[in-house]
Amino acid sequence: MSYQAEVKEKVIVNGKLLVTLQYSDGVKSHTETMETKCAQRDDWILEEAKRRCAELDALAAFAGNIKVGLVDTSLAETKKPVVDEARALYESQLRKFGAAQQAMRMGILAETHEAFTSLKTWLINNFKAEYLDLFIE
Amino acid sequence: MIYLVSSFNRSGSSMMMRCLIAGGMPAVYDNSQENMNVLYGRGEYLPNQNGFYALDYGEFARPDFVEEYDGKLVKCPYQKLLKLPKHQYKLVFMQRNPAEIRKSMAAFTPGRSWGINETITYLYTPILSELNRRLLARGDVDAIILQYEDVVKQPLVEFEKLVKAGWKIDAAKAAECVTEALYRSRLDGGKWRA
Repeated sequence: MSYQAEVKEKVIVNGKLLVTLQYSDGVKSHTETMETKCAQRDDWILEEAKRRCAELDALAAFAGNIKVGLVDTSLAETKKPVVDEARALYESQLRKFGAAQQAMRMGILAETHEAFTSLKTWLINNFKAEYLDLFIE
Repeated sequence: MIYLVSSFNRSGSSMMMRCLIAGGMPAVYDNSQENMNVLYGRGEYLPNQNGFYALDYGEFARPDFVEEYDGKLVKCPYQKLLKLPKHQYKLVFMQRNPAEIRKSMAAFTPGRSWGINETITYLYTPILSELNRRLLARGDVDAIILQYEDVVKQPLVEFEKLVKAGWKIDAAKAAECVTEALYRSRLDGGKWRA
C-alpha cells in the first residue's frame, strides 16, 4: 500500500507553527513535524505531504531491492579505471579555448582569428551531453 | 513550492527578480554581490544599477534549504539548479542573445574574460538544451523560459505568461518595473544599438 499522510496535531510554540503529520503505509507509521515562522500558501501541507509520500514510497521500493548478506566486492576491485580519451581531449581543448578567450579579451587575439574560431568550432562539433558538468560545475 | 529565477550570466535574472518582487512575490536575497557595483562601477556605468538580488552560494548547500525557502522566491545560480534537493520548484529561466551576453560581460570587466561562464555563450544552444533536458528529467521543476529581449519589449505579455503558468503575481505591477534604458549591450536587427 502506498504511503498516506494525516495531520495529527498543530500548535504554535515560540512564534513557530508546528504541524505534525503521520505517514503510514498501512503497516508502518511514523510522524514528522513541519514548521514555519510565517503564513504559507494554502497548499503548503498538501504539497509537503505529496512529496514525502512519494519519497517514502520510493524509499521502500529501494530498500526492497537491497539484498541482505555478504557484499561481493571482488568485481569492483578488479575493474580498471577507464580513461575516456575523448573526454580528456575535450577538456584539454576547453582549457585552450579559455586561454584564447582571455587573450581575445585582452586584445591580443581577434575574435575572428583562425586559432580562436577553429577551437570554437571544434568544441561545438564535439560537444556531448555528458560533458555538461565541464561547464556547470 | 520554491520559486526560482535563473539564467546564464548577464541575462536579466536580476531584473526578473526585481519585477517579480514588485508583482507581489515574497523573495529572499542578501547583499552578497552588491559590492560588484562598487568594484566594477565607473563613471555612469554600474553593472546592475538596481541591484543583484542574489543569495549567498552557501545557502544552496544548506541541509534545510527546502524548509528555509519554501514558499519563497530566490535567484538560483544556474550551476546550482541540478543540485537542488528534491522538492517542488517553479523556475523562470532567462535567455539572452549570446553576443549580447558577451558584450555585457566585456562592459562589466573590460579586458578580462569570464572564463567558463563566457565559454558557455559560444556553445549556448547545446548546453542550454542539455541543461533543460536534465531539469525536465528531475521531475520536480516546472520551468518556463523567457527571453530577456521580449521581457523588455513587451513586459506585460511576458508576465502574463508567468501568471498562466501558475506564478501568483500581479503582472501589471511586475511589468511596470522593467526599465528599458538598462537594456544595454543590445543588438537591434544585427547592429549594436548606441
